[in-house]
Amino acid sequence: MSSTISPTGVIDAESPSPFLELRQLVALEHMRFATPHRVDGAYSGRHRSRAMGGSGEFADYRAYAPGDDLRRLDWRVLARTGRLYLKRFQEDTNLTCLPIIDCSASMRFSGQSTSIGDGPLGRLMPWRRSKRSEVPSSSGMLDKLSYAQFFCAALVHLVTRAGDQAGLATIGGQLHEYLGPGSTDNHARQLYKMLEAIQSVQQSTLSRGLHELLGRLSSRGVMLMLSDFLVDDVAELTAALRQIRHRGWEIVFLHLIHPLEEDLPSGVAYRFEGMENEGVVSCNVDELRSLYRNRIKEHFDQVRNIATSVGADYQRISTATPYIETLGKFLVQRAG
Amino acid sequence: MFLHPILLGIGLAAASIPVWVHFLTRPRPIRMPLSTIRFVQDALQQQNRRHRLRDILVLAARCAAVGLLAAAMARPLLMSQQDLKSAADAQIVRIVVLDASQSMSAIDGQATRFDAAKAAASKHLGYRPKLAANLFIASSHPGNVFDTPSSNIKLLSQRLAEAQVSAAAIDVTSMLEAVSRQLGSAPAGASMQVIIVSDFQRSNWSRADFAVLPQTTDVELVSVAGAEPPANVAIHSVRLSSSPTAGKPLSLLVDIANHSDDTRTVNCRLQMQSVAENSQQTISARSTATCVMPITWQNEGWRWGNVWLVDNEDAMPGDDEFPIVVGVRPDTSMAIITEASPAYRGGAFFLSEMLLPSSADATEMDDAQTSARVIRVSPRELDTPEVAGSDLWIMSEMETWQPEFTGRVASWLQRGGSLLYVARDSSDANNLEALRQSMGTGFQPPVQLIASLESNSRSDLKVDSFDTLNAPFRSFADRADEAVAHWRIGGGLPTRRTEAGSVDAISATLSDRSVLLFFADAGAGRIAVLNADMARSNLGYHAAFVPLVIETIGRLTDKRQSVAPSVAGRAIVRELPSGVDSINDLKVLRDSDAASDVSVVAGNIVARDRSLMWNWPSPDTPGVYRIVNERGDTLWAEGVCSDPIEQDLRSLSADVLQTRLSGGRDVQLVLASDDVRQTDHLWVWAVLSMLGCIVAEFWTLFTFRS
Repeated sequence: MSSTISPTGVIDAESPSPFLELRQLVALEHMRFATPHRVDGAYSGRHRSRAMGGSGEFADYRAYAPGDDLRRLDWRVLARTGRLYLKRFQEDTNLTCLPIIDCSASMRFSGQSTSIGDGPLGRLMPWRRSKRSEVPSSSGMLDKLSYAQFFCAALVHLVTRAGDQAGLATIGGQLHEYLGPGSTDNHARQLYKMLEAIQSVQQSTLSRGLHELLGRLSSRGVMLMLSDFLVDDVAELTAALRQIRHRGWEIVFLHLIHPLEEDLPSGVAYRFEGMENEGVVSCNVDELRSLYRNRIKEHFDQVRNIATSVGADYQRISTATPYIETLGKFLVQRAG
Repeated sequence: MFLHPILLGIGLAAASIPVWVHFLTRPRPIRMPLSTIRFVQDALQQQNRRHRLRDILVLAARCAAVGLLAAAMARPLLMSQQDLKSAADAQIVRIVVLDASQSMSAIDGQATRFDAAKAAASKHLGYRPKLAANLFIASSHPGNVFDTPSSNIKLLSQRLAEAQVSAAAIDVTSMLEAVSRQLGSAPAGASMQVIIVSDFQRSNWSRADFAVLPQTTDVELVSVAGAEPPANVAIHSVRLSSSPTAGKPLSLLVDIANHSDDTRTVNCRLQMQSVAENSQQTISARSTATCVMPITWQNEGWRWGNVWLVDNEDAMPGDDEFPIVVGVRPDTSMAIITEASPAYRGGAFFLSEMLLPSSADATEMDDAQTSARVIRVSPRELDTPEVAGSDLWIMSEMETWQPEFTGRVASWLQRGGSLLYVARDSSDANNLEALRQSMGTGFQPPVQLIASLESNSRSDLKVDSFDTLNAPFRSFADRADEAVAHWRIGGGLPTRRTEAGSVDAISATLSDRSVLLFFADAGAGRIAVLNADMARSNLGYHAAFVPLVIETIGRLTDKRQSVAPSVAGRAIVRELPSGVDSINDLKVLRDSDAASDVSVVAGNIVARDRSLMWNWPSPDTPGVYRIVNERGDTLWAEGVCSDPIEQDLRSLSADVLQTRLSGGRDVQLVLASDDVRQTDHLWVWAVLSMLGCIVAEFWTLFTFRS
């Protein structure tokens, strides 16, 4: 068990992960991750199942059909009317939540102008964190990957604590890590460790990772895509998401955006370095600002269009907003 | 071609300053990893075409502005065709002629023509490899710096800077001949160039003939004259109404020429020692008026002074002042020398009757009123003081002269005496021929009298033509034809034209083409020959005979009474009066230096044939010059004035210079003022272009603003 630093600077000794801030989550303890849709769960739970069972809350009647379970016949109606009706009851089941984190290098964008690493690798890729122990504080401006890590840790905590199942997948150039859904504390700790171990990669091919993930999915649930969607394979990504959606997964786009991505930093001359081997660009940002805003807006619209086209929910999240606040709003919105 | 090429080099180096400023002031970029760099690249691609064009335009405008400023400061000059040709030629012989005549002192615009001419000439005296050049500072003499073209350009430039305007007129003919001689010594194959910088004054250059130059000579005429001739009002000449005799009132006639297109009113002031007069005169455009000033000298002797135009604002102040020298004499003395008896009605008879006062007249007139002292003597009385002291000898009915007699007459003429000779037969022809041979080039009559017996057959000859522009026929005015119509001339001699004499000296001719009356200079004196036998002619009986003789005598003695000074640039040769013991006691004073009593360099005085001669080959400075002895007595006074021919500042047209006077040579006429304006235009245009570049830069920044 590791410790984490709370926004107040107090080390939470009981936290199982540096990305899990239990004191911050106290206000969200009463909230549950829900979905307005019916779900298919393996176990009994608090979520309305797609299937009608013989127990639980009464739902309606249905005419008897040969082959139906005679145990569900409403004998009283048969006695009074002589007709065969079956009583249908709404079953409750558990929910499977699968966050997918984009671990491409662009997710490490933090808006810092100085390099982080001191070594050769740090000089070449200053945005790449060289030590796992360097966990940023959530009180400051987080990069998108860290923001996703904090967000997922909190979500996993809430999901598993509610008896639902949570899994995790990280996708960069491919499917790097995948841990299936589970609801035990031990499973949650594995998820936390997996979150800590995430490292960014140079490639960003979400479609390929999703295809690999599709082959390993067995159940249905809610898939959360935490990404900046700065990808080149837009058409392939859309196709992969359609297949996942066809399998019955509910997809939610959590589009992570850093404030300096929405609008370029103030100043005159900048030498921008691509984070995924995209080269170097020197420019006067004041002269480019208007054109850049138009271009980034087109990107936002494109991602939203993809989500709409595959029947997914879309949520744009700014890393300037504390992840706890974002999570709270998200849960309220999900609860409907 | 640039006036200051080093400034151009500095300026072009400075043109790179905007580039350096661009790099030095470029902000240091902030390095930042950016996830959305693909959108920045897209925006850059969209923006680059627009902004790269802006940056290129701004940088080009800035560099061009600095370069143009440097070009303007370097004063660009267009390379002339002459320079291009010179640059290509291997060997160049160049003669630069600078007109230093009086008219070049005229103020034309902001500066004098001479200053503009020096600036224009200096452009052609720059150093070039294989260039041999010479400079002619031409006025009355060619004024060449070197005897042959030299590569010592530095000395030529120095002499050009030191050049001064002369008061004389330019002798175009002698100048062109001197240039031709120097070009004749040029090496074979060399390019010969003649650059003449002048105002090409009409009165001087109309006699130019470039045909004397070698055929392959390239002639460039650089004119410093403006489009319109500047206005000039000048004193053309000063005359006396009659002989300056002590106690006799006369008038000083000042001829003032108005060489302008406007009517001018001028104030004329006379200052001659103690005499001062003022007069005002209005002169019409392009005309001459005479200003009359009454004057009386009570005593004989030399009088000198000046006449000038007061507050006359014109282009050439140098000709507003005119020196006057007058030799006031007690009266005119003449001697009629003849071998005829008093009763013989020949030339001596009629002249004596007219000139000798009658006894009644003599008693009525006192000595002061006697206008002339006339005596009649025989040739044997030539040595008497009365004859030797006479101003004029009148010879008629003379026998053939002995050589000694001829020598004495020649000597008398050499000293400035005048002679009226009445020729009637062959002995007179022999006498005049002997006199001509005795005086050599000092006496060159326009015609030669032919000694023959034909004189006996000459009778009833009529006057065929006569010169009404000069004395004596000028006095008849428009009645001259009427006056001479009834003259019948007999005797005399047939005549033959000589090559040396001037046709202008012939005053009248007869119906047989022989000459009736002619004048000629003889040494320092003058001769008039009346070719007629008065005994066989009716001339002596006509009333017109009196004014004819009086005017003839006046023309002969005119040199004694005229106030016309010597013209600058023309040689002065004067025989000084006798009685001077030593040359060393004499000195020449200029009027302005009289008070200081310092001798000036004005020719030299030499002893020749028992007399003293004052010889000044080229007087150049106007003024009054006096030769005084050790006691301060003035022995001779001479005025030197600027050449009146220089007063009319009109120039020849380009087509006259390039066609009629070119003599088949390649003559190009350029205007020095145009050259200067062209240069000015270039640097002004460069400045304007620089300002245009600055405006273009601002326009570009405004148009492409983000």
